Amino acid sequence: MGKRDRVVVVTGASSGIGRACALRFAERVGGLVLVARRAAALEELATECRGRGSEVLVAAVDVTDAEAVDRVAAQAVARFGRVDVWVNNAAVNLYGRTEEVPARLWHRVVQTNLFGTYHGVRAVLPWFREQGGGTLINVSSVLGHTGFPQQSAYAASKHGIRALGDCVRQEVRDVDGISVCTVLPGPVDTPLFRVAGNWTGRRVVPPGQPVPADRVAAAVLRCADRPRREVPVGGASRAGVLAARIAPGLVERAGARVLGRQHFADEATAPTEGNLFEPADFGARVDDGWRSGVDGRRRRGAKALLGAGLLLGAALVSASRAATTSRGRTRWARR
Amino acid sequence: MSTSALVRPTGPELSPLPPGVVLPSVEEHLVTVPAPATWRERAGRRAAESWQLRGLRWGVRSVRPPIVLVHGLGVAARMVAPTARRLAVGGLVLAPDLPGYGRSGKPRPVPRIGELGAALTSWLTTTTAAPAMLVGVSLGSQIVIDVALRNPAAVRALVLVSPIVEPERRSWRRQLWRWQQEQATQSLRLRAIQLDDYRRAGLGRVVRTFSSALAQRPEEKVGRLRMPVLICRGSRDPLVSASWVRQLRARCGGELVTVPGAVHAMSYENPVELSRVVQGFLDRIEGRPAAGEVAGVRA
Repeated sequence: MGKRDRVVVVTGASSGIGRACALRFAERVGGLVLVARRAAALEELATECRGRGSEVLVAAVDVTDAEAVDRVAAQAVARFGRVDVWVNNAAVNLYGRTEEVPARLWHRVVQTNLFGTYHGVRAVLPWFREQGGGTLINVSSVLGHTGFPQQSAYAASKHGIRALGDCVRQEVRDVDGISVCTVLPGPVDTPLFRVAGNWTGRRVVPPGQPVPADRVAAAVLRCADRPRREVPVGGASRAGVLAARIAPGLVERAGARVLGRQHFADEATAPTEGNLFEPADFGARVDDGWRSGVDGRRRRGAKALLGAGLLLGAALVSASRAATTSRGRTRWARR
Repeated sequence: MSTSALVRPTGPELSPLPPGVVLPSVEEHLVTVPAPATWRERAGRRAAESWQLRGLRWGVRSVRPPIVLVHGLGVAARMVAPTARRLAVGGLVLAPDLPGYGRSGKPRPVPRIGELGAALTSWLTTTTAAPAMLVGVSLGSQIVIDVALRNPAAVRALVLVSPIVEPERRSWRRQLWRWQQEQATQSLRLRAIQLDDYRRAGLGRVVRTFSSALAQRPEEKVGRLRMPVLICRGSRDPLVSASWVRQLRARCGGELVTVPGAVHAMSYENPVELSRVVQGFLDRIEGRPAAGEVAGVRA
């Protein structure tokens, strides 16, 4: 596919990673479809994307509405003839103990993140099949591989997104041209932390040093060019995914002790639904300034220490496991 | 459960293809139309004379307006067949060979664009009673514009695919080089079909028809159209510039679609994209909710 030959759909395009993706794709693709709830934010973004040379279709749609997402796909092909890349990125977050957060908020997180992704998948796959190809990119998270205290809805939905992608990848094996990718970012500097629902009573701050959203967007674009099964973004999330695979128990304990403490500031806040039901009236932007703040600098040392500790721990555990199995095998072979 | 219930209303109509659904097969048809008066005058023939128009037909009549696909210069209905086959899932699709081309009769002297349009107007009233949607590809776009102006009541809507020729390029000198560039975007299969059709038509006829096309002023004619118009351009089309289709759109107040990656001979090389765009346009003007304009979705 040559320059500006592709058509791309991005959900959750009004802010954060989705916005960064839209801006990057706008420089390279012929048609761009922007999906989010906030019409005004999308219009403003569309103008910027058109300035970068792409034609833009705007869809002010909530991804929890399956029929509306179907219509977005139908509109996209009616307008551009094709959809080559579909990025399921729209997501919300909710902080609070599992038993304490209101059930309707928990449901809403899964509806937006997991059902929303599912709606995108089912909307675009028939068109992919008809045209004989296409790349589906689902934005999951490191929390698609490991758990996290006070974020059960988010982690469960991100695990679900990864599983959904794995299943669909197996289903579309009959069509060579279709690829399914799962992108796994760690903490990213986006408005997500500020607009999340929060039932913890404390202000949420990103754990460790968040990576810029543009870096995730770059990974999404690489997937669009050269699809891969799973793509962790950044060294920390690569280490996190690896550690969660090698030593899941250890990562769980470390997460509960260290990261759980880091994620919340000593600042009381009232419970909030965040942007779960109504989009926030701020934060229609890529970043939220987390990388430049004092908080970030303070935590950088802690993050490095933590990363090193996780890796060392994981290495120790895997080494001891390997030793056990090899001894076991020897004994079994001798018998 | 009926097979149609397996297909979701907004999904592509061909896929996933439920078991038991058979793609419409192609049939040939032959229509005889009176030769246009201007041509008879030029030919010096007083007596009524008729032209034979052969063509292809897919699908069956449905609530949807019939779709008529008109091919481009030198080629014939085969060139639009891949698109027609897809569109035929929803209703009747017709593609005539223009007089002098393909397997239609070979009137001499070579008819001009207006005469081809007149013949196609009579062909249209003979063939379908319901107002049809006309899709003109390349040179065919000039002919469908002509038909729509001659008999607006018979035309539900117009689609101009890769419309030619723009004012700054209305000379052989400016066309030949670009035409060579366009050839480079064609697949070998299309080139084989093209060679065969050129042989049937004869190079002299192709040259004379194109001379007549160079004298046309489509930008003036589209201003008089009173039906919905869609203009469709492939982003990899060296013959049709983006500014020209924008100018056409401004003149007729229609819609403009640029298909990323599509070439000039879209009806053969990008049939999936073209049929989706045409079907989407038809759904919009017919006010069908399935793929119609959604609240919150706009270009």
